[in-house]
Amino acid sequence: MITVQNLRHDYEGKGACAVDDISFTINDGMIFGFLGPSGAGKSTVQGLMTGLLALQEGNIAYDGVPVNRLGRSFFQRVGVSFEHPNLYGKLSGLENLRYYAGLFDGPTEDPLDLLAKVGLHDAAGRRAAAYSKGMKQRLVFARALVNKPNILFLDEPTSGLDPSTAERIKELILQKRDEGCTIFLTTHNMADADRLCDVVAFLNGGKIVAMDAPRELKLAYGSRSVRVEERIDGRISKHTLFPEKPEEAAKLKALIDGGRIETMHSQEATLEEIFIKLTGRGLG
Amino acid sequence: MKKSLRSARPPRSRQPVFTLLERDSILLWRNGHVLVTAILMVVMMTLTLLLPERIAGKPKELVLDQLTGSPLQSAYAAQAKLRFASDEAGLRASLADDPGLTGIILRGTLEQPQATILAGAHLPDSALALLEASIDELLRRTRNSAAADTTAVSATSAQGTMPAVHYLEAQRPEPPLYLRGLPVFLIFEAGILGFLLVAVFVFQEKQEGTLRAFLVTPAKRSAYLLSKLATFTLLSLLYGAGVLAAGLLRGVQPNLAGILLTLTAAAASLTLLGLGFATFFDNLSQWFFPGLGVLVLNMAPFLGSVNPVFQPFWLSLAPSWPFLKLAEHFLQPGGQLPILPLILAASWLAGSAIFCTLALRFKLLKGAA
Repeated sequence: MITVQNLRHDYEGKGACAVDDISFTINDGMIFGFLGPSGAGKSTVQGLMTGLLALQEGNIAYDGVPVNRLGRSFFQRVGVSFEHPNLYGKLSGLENLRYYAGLFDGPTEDPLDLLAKVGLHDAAGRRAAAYSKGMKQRLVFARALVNKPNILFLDEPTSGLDPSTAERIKELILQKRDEGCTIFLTTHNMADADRLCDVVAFLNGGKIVAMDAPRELKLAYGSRSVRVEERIDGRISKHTLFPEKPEEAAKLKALIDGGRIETMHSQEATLEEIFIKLTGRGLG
Repeated sequence: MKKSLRSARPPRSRQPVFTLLERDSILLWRNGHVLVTAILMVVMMTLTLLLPERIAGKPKELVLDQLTGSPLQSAYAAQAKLRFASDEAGLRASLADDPGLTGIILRGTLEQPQATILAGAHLPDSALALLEASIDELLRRTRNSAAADTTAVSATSAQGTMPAVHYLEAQRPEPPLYLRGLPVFLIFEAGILGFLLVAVFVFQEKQEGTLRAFLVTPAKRSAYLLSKLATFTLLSLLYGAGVLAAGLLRGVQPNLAGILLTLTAAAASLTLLGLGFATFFDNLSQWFFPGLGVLVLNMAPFLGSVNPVFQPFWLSLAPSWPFLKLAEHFLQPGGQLPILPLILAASWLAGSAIFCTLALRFKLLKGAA
């Protein structure tokens, strides 16, 4: 279990906190989504959790052990996929993975198997500098898995990927979760978060503005509606009704009783709509 | 691909430092660092093999002897150490042709000479004093020589009465030119190229962001440092072996253990210094002027080695100086081991190691864990 308590971080020490009093808990085998626009503080939190940034205020503990007491052996079981592909351009994809695997003491994945899983088997011998952005992103993702981690930090893992490749990566993330891996997923892709995450936290201006399972957030903050299309005198008429309001529930009943309905769909609020509702800003 | 499939997983028993060493060696090759070093090695080997033992230069003074009886011209015209003009017009024409030449006109008698110096460019006081002393000495010897003809004094006393010199240490013969250059050729790679190349290497890692990926692995900073140290030291030793081989072909008989230890210590010290120094800059542009300053300081002892007159005290403060002095000693064994260079070399090595360790811990590989 990962416990984060009252995390605060001020880069310049001038009172402008990039992260301000953040607390959350991630249970083992869970995908925890950290959602927010650029500059919200997502990378700062990930940096603090992975030890790349020194803790200023607050606590981070892995199974009760504070992060600053874990030592370098902690990274034996951690995988990190960075948003910006950081690879040795003059090494091939295979050499990058072989090099990285060699830095761990325990059992590691076969680099070629990993490359095959992310669709880079044919490009294994090509230098990473010649890879496209999406290929580099996949290689960085594969690198995060090389040491068979049981804690994964993924920063925008599907960024820049075509839909089918993104789907492949998402399947791998779910597979790792099913194997018991705890995953901290940073993204601004609400659809990905909705599909992958067990719990999501909305981060804005360095603070968590909402945190729960996606379904619970939709129930708590979204308004369910019904979209109805009826044909009157050959023309299509569209209605969006909120059955929670008595007058609209009555109108819906009237439409059904009228027998002119052609289509009818229930609608849920999306995470993005909820985020906008809570923060007044989009995720762009 | 099937073959590499079997060998794709790195051996489990291997320490991270060997993985880093393999990576650094591959990158050293692909970055062209090995090629640049090899080219430099070939240049230095060629110089070692082709430099003559001595360069015989012409005298830079032209004398017009108008003393009564032209005693100087009579005594020294046959020697290559002095050149004489036949008349003043010829002297002035020669000076016009060669601005580096200094003319000396001697008039009057050997007992009461009057000297005039003609110089194309400004002569510093020290050079002028040396010239005056040389003229006095020349005249004195000529007078003594003339007296010897009449009083039949010994040939030795006719050469003048130079002060006796007593050397406190056993003196080695004056080294030939190629042997004077060899210490410079050997230390040059570590002192100049190694310092620069390790910086280029670090900037590449910074630019690619790979150090962040390294920081989230269990590998220790010491493994990173040792890998860089071993890679660049090995490159310096290979370079040094080539240059030394050229020296051996030329007949140099060095203290091999001493020179290899010196070369290793120089390469290690300057790699650590270069690595630690590079951590304070993000790229080569930022590094350029401060780095160039260190390189110029490091090169100054090389100039001192080529020109023994240029030996100001501050030369000994340059990181390359003690290693250069030790290399000079071990390439021409004999005499006592120079203590000051030995102490300074050990200090630079220890100091560079401490500086580099701290720079990595608090700057380049800064992280919470």
